[in-house]
Amino acid sequence: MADVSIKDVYKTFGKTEVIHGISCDIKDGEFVVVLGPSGCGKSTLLRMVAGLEVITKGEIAINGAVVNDLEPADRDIAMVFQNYALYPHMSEKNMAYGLKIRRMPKEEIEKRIRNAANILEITEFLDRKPRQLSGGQRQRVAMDRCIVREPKVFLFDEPLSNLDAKLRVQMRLEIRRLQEDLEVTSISVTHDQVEVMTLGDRLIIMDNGYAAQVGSPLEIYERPATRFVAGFIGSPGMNFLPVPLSADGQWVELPGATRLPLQNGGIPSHRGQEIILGIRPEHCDLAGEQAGMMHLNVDHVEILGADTLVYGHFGEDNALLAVRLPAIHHFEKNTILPLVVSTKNMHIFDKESGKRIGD
Amino acid sequence: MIIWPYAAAPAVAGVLCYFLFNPTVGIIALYMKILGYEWNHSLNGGQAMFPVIIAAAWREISNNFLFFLAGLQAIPKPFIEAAAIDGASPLKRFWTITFPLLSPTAFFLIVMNIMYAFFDTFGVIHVITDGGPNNATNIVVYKVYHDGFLGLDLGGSAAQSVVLMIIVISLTVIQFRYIERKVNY
Ligand SMILES: Nc1ncnc2c1ncn2[C@@H]1O[C@H](COP(=O)(O)OP(=O)(O)OP(=O)(O)O)[C@@H](O)[C@H]1O
Ligand SMILES: [Mg+2]
Repeated sequence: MADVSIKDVYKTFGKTEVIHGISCDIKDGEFVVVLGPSGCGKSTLLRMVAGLEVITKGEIAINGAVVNDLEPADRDIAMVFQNYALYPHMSEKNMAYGLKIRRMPKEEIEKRIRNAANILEITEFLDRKPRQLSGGQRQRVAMDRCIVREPKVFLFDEPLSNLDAKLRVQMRLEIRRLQEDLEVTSISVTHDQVEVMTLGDRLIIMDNGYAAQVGSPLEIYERPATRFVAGFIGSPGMNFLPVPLSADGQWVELPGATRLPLQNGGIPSHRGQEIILGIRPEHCDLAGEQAGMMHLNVDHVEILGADTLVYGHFGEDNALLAVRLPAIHHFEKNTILPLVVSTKNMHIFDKESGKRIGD
Repeated sequence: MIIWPYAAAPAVAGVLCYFLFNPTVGIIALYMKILGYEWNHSLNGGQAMFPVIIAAAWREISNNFLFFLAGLQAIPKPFIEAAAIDGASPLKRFWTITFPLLSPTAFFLIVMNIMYAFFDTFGVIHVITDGGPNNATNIVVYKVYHDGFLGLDLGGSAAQSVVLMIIVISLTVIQFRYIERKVNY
């Protein structure tokens, strides 16, 4: 049981700086998920916490003690690697390895392995070598190897990336349940949208070595701090429309001359300027012929079952828009759909800096 | 530096050893004399095998080194890192992770080295001792050559070479049977 504090951490490989100062305080028992595009430094951050990469500048502390110069062995952490890294020449010893090295009595080792194997239902695979296991089974053995150690901190580097969709859902629930049962502070790296929203108590969205935003999944979904974060969370991504803000800063004008009023007193500071309007696909809905704020010309429809994604364009400069409609709809190409936008769920970003403005 | 010997022909390795250990001009023989040890491998059969072994082994070191290096580089880093996180010291990591993962390479090299010892030491022996003194270094390949081409006993020589073949085949079979099972993972 431990809290982890990451303080203004930098990482340089040779001459290239890949992490430019990240800070985050992770509370005891919290599950933090790190998300970002490929190559933004997620694994590097995790490896610095694990002690596999030297920290160039800044401080990482576990339970208040700075661990910068501690060997991975002395940090009392356990890590699930992206490709699991199960020792190929060991069977159940994979799990016992870390315990044996810590000179734990034999009965205790066996007890722990049996417990952990029960939790993840892998008792029958215990005597198999890793190459005799399927991806999902390997994943569970890798998780087990971490559990039996009873470490202060769990680290997961894209633990579910090799699994099929169904197994992924199952393992996601399992990881979450385990983490809640064991109350071990955890940090996970992921690409998966659903995983991000459901797994973590808190998210760190990384952009090119910077932490673009840190907050709870809902907070980030509802109030993304930058255009980058807004586009990264949610699937399909948020629609961005460059639109002019009115002279008094109270409304924006959509292509097609529709005016959308802004909430909470508008944005007087940017009056008359062009801004980026962000609308999530799920915040658009079908409207009656008269009430439509915009008229979408359908290009393409994807029926997902529970809902339908409609891609189309509208206005004189053919702005593209993706819309998520509940239930199943069969629209022909080039159908004109009248749509309404929920004005309280609009996001406004500065055109230059990409920062969120207004409320 | 370790791979240089590989570039030297077996006979060259032999000549090198021949001169190093030569009782009259050899520098190693000289030092041993200084240390009070009478060295003369051309007379003393017990000593004669020694320079042969040195020359043959020296040449094979590079070969083995290359294979082990390749084997080491083929071990994925995450295994070592996982072991480090599990709390193993560098030495422990080597013995429990790296070494077992190298075992297929080691097994291959054992087989190859035994074959080398049986067949390819010919050049070294030919240069250093000629199978002498008193047949002390007269191993089977050398004897096959000696009896067949110098002694002109072609029948006996052929029979010996068949025996040699059978020995090597059976050794290899034994290795594959009993050791390979242990080194595979
Ligand atoms: N050992 C290294 N030497 C030099 N550069 C490195 C090294 N490791 C990583 N990098 C660089 O650091 C950056 C971040 O790498 P990192 O592995 O952390 O990305 P990531 O966010 O985990 O990406 P992915 O989602 O693809 O796993 C990359 O641009 C990569 O090229
Ligand atoms: Mg990565």
